[in-house]
Amino acid sequence: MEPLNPYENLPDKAFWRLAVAAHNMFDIEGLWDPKFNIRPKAKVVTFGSCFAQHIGKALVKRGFSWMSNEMPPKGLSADNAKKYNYNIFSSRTGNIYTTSLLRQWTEWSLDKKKTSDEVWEKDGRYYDPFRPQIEPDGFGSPDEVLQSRNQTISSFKEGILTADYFVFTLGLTESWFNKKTGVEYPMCPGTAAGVFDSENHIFKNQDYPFILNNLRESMQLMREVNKKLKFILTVSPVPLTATNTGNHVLLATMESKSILRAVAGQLARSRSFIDYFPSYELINAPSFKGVFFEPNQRGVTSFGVDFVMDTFFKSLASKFEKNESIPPRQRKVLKNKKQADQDVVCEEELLNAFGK
Amino acid sequence: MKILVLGNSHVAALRSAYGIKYSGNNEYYFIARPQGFGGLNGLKYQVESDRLLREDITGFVSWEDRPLSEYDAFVFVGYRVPYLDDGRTFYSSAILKARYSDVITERIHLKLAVLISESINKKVYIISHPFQDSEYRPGSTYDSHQKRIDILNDLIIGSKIDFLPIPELVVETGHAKMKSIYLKDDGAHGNEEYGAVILSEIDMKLADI
Repeated sequence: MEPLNPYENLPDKAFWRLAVAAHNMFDIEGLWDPKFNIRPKAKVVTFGSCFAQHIGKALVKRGFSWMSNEMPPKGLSADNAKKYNYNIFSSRTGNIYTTSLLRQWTEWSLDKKKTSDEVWEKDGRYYDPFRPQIEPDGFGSPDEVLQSRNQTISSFKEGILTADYFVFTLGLTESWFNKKTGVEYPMCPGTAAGVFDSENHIFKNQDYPFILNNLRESMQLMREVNKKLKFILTVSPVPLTATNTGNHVLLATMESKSILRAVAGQLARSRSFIDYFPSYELINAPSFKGVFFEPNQRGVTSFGVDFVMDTFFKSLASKFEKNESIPPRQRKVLKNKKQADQDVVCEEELLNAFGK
Repeated sequence: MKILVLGNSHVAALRSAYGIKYSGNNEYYFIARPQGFGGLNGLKYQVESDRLLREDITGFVSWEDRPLSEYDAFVFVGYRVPYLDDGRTFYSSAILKARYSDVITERIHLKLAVLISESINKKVYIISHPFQDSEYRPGSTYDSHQKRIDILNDLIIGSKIDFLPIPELVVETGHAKMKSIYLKDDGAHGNEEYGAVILSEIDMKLADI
């Protein structure tokens, strides 16, 4: 029998009352229907806005193969590795807030555009305009800045060439460009570093076509050198710290996130190799009542991050039943045991050597 | 010259060799990590803080109750060679400085070696433990060991500390594997023959000072 209307045979998830209102907010299901069966051995790189770093950490925690293509030097402590921004993203790019910045890194790494030689100086230390906080106390010389940036560009390229999945978190629409050279900065010059030049530093609040085009072009360039590469797009749920649009920051936040969300959705719908994961909705949807935000209503609590990432892995497991996490590696435990065993032998060795 | 050898159980090979096979002119003294038996009155350098370590060093006496300043050189033996990068990756000077600090502070013997070299201004040699049979992997080369030592020496360049490689004489040609005649039955510790080679190496180094 023909349905009376198209809604009649839709699943429960299509109806707010059944899918949302009837549930405790923590029991709302089916928010992500993953396109790809991301297996633990698949190589995943993560870049983008601040929130992207949570994805990398969660992948590592679950035994997935998150790739860090720019490793700290051996011997550097974990604290210092963090201080110098290693293993935050898959390369030391710092935050890539906009899709045009992603395109800039992509074009640099794939030799589509000449890299910038711009370096900022302050009090005898040198800063990378494209990663102004990558070294908290700056670099020792302009040459160090450029060598370090080239290292990152090279490792970014390695990620493009070898990854199976490229996770990108869209963060901002507001951006700053250099009028003369055309390069984009991740932060307004004069904030984290550098000096603001009102003649040369121009503000652009990116619109839907600009964002869409840059993201599409970035992915196209990456796919030209790695045809197997698939993308998972997310939108950062973290509100803007400040806006330069003249609007109220709350309105600017809602507008920019809405545009970014629309771009991600459009691309995920139109390309088989692109998926969208709803981290933005999982934190921001009215049903979650803002409970995942810090008291400043901007930072996302660790509980919120866990909720998002649990949804990510549960959705994968639910759709692809054989998805399994690799158990935590035992190597360190074994190594410690081996060392302990060796120490026992050593005690006896000393007795022999120093005894009469 | 008076030389103090410090370390863990691997001190044993040198001490044994010194009593039996050594024919050089230097005076060696030995001290090992306190073991709580065997009449050892070792130095307690497993300390809780930098401050304590610095205080200890001023009153630091060896087993022989000799002030540290009366020794002409120090030798640390028996430690694992930290694996550092191969130098092909670029790191900023700030990162390398932080790494130097981390490598030193996370290894008590290096920390002590730095303190000795800085506060007493004497030469300090550090030699890893012999290649151990249990750790041997086919393809492990002597060259890679040598390279690791070179990188460590680059790291501490400007100090009075020298990392010394395991002498080529005691290894299977080209391999990171000991000739069996230099190992004890446990496959982990050097014997008197090994100890004698190390003492001879140190004598040669000291002759160059």
